[in-house]
Amino acid sequence: MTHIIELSNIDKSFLTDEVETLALSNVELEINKGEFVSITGPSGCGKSTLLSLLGLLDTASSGQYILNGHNTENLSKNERAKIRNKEIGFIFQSFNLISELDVYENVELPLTYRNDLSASEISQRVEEALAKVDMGHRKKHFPSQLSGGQQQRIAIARALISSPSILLADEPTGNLDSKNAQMVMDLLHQLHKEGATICMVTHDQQCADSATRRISLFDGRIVEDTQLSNQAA
Amino acid sequence: MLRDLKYAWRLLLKTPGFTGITIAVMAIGLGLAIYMFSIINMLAYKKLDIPQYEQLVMIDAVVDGMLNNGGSVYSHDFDYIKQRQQSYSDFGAYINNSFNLSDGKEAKRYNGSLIDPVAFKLFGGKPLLGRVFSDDDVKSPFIDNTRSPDTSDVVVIGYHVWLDYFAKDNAVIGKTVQVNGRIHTVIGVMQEGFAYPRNQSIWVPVKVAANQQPGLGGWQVSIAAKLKPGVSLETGQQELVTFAKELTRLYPESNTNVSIASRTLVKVVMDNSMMIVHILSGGTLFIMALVIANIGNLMLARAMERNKEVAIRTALGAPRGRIIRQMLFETLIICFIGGFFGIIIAGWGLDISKPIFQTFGGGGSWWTFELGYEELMSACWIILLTAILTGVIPAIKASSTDINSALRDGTRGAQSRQSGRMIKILVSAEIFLSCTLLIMAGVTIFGVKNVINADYGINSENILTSKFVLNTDAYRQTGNRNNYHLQLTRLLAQEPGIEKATTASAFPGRSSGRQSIQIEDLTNQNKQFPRSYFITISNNYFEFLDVPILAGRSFSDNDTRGSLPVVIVSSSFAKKYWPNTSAIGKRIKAEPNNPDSKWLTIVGVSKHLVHSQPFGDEQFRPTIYVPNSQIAYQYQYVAIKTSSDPYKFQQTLITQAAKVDANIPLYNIFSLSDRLERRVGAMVFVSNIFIIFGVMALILAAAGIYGIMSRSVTQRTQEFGVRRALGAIDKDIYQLLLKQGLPMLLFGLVVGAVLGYFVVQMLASIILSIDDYYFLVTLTILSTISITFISATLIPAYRTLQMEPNNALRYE
Repeated sequence: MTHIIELSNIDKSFLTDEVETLALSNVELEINKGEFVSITGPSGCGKSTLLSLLGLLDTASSGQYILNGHNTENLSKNERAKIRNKEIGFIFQSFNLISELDVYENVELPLTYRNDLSASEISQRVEEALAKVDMGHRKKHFPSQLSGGQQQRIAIARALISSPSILLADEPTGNLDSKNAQMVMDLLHQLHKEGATICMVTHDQQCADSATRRISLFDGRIVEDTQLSNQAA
Repeated sequence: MLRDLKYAWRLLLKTPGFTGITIAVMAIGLGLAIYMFSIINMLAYKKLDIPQYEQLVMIDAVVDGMLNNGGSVYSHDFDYIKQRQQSYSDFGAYINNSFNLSDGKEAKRYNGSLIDPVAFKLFGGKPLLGRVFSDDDVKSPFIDNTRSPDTSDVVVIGYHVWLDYFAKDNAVIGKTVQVNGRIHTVIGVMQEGFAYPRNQSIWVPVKVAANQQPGLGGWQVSIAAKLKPGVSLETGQQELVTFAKELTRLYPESNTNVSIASRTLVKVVMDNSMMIVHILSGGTLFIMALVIANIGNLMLARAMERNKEVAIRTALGAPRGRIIRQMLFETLIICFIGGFFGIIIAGWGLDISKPIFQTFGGGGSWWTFELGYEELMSACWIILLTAILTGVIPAIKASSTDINSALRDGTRGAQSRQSGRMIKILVSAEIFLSCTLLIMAGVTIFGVKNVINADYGINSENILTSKFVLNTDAYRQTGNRNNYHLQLTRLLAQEPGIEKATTASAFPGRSSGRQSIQIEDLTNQNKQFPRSYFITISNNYFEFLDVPILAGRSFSDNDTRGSLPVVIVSSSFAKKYWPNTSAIGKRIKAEPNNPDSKWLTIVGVSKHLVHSQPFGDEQFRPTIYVPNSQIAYQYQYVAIKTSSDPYKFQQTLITQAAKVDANIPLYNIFSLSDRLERRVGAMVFVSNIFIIFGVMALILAAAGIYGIMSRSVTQRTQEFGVRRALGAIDKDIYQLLLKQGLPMLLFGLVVGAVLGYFVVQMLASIILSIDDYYFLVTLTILSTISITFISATLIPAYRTLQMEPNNALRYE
């Protein structure tokens, strides 16, 4: 198995009003290519902190994080940004689409931070990503003109556009009704079947159980790591 | 309502930083606005305590397109118009003059007026003691070329003269005093504060005789008239212009290029400087617009931050009007506290401006420099208007919050598009307002600096000057006047520390009037004669000022009343009329319509001296100098060149003058340098005001743009978090912000520069030649604003980018 992510002995603490809070403690984790990992646990257990570290949105207080064979410990801000751009796709609970940009512009956004693609290549990729989430017909709409489920599909298309090594999803169904939540989960499973590696933080037990592997956190520690029987076809 | 007021007060106390800054900006802005309003009102719009003031108009001549400020209508023309006009119920002449009061031992000089009893009554003054004039007080009317129009033997004195000269003597009525050497009986003392037409404190009755010969020179008058009920200033003006055209047609020798204009009394004092009032008004409006934009923006930001609170209140059933009222209370509290301090600042500003305005000279008696009832009421209106303008929009905007979106935790990254539009409008407005104001300020400051350092053609160091008027019967003849000059200059020159002394009717920076000139060889003048400055001087005038005679000779003792009448002309005069030949030996005639006027032979050409303000076309107007031995004006200056500080010799000057004639007081004693500085005092004041405007504009613009951009960037923290999560590096964010800001910056700069250009053209027409500065100043200002804008964009962005993307994504 190829490890995409290797965490060893990761700690993360926050200093609030001179009180140090340990959000993650001694986390050891390896995620392989093609896995669909769900991370669960009660509120405040460190799920989102762990996902932020995995997405290089934050840095660990101590420990080692190797992403796709590269040690991320001493990377500069710009190097981390480049890795996020090429290797990681984010899906947020609140979608985080930019309201001033239309659907097309939102999806192409990660590619605008790269200089290695021509306009026609970008256009082709956007069309493909939108087609994948079945939103090609709404590319001139603004986020405010879309439903929550549609916005999350756009967010997924945006996460896919760079063909990342791993998709990181933070409560992707948290802001959606059950119908739209199911649709988003179906889409993630579809992507997993197509070979995507996914790491998803969720409160929803049903969503967590639909992954191929479930990790449970409690007080910043991994307390359970279970391989599930759901395998990509 | 009290509950809302208390709540607003509590909220303001909760954020002392915000409240303090807002009140400070408001206090400074309102202080400046109230100060400027008081000055502008005093200069141009003051309602005077004259009965039916609105119907009182002052009428003067416009000669060569230049509006004269008193004493410029031929007495023949006055009579011609008076006999025919239909617009005015009362029509009287007056001549503002200088009066020497004397008891035979000591003389004092006061401003006064020779005034028709009809005109005097128009100003509505009531006597404190005695009575005012009746028609019987005028013994006989005067004609244009009489020696003195004063044929009466009575005088009315002002409160100031009663105090200063008569030591508040309650028995002054019936006492006699020499007025310009003639005995007059005091018949009345006017109440305190009465000093019309302008700043007078002595009045002598006169009347203009009917059926005079046209334009022979001599006495010219101003006119005070009362419009008939229902007749407007403009209608009266049209009738006057019609008469002026008739007079030009009938008497082209005297009336070519002469028209007539009527103005309110307040505007007469401002003379040709009304444009300065308009420029100051414009500058004040711009500053107020900037203040309102800034405060409005701060209040809007505050309102937006309270989005959720307003949504909760609305959800709980608060009516919209109540929410608007509550938000408005905050603005009202800020504006009234700011306004209170603003009034204190304005009062302080007026207090320190008093001595500055006094240096201008010749102001109206109503120039008070105090915040009176009228000014305070206007200040309250300004404060209320500012409160409404700054408070209403934020209050309405906050009250129209979408409850659902505000109450749900729906963060979607970027700021709303509506909010983005508002920011663009605010930033562009701030940029264009500050850009225009800074261009106005910059160009004015540079231009005035140039004027202050202007070259009048002389070295004014260590020269003390004083005015005197030879207006007693002893000096009716030129010979007597010249003897006075000779005695005075001889005595002064003998004093230790005084190197030399001279007299003249004008020194550079001033003139003693213009005369129509006929050139002997110029055959095509067609009775239309150009006007030149005409100055009477002592023989050593040019030597005294170290001014070279470029051709011919200076005046000498051989130039006497009986010898050939001679003149020296300025090089500008010689160049204008004899560009290719020498002017020496050529002949000219002043007052060509006067049959007694003689041909004057040019014996010398002097370097050109500036006898006006040192800017505009007037500075190039040619000058003719005649010797005091042949023609000597009544109004003269005496000047001494000293080896040290000229003011040390002030008493020497007074003592020596009293030795020559105790009835001729010296007045207005100033060094020539100070006199030249006072010449541009009004412009220096305008320049100083524009320095304050400029500094204010820069601070307000920087604070305003920074405030808006900082808030805008902060509001976009989550969006930047998203972008960074997607791979944007810091440079991408900076580039994005600059790219998005560029249209705002360019729009503001272009509109501001274009508007600034037009304002500068207006300035150029009245103040100075400013073309040299426009591009330099504009370029500097555009660069400064651009740097301010870029800093205001990048500094908050830098702060935001210091956050980890994860924190940025969760930022609220």
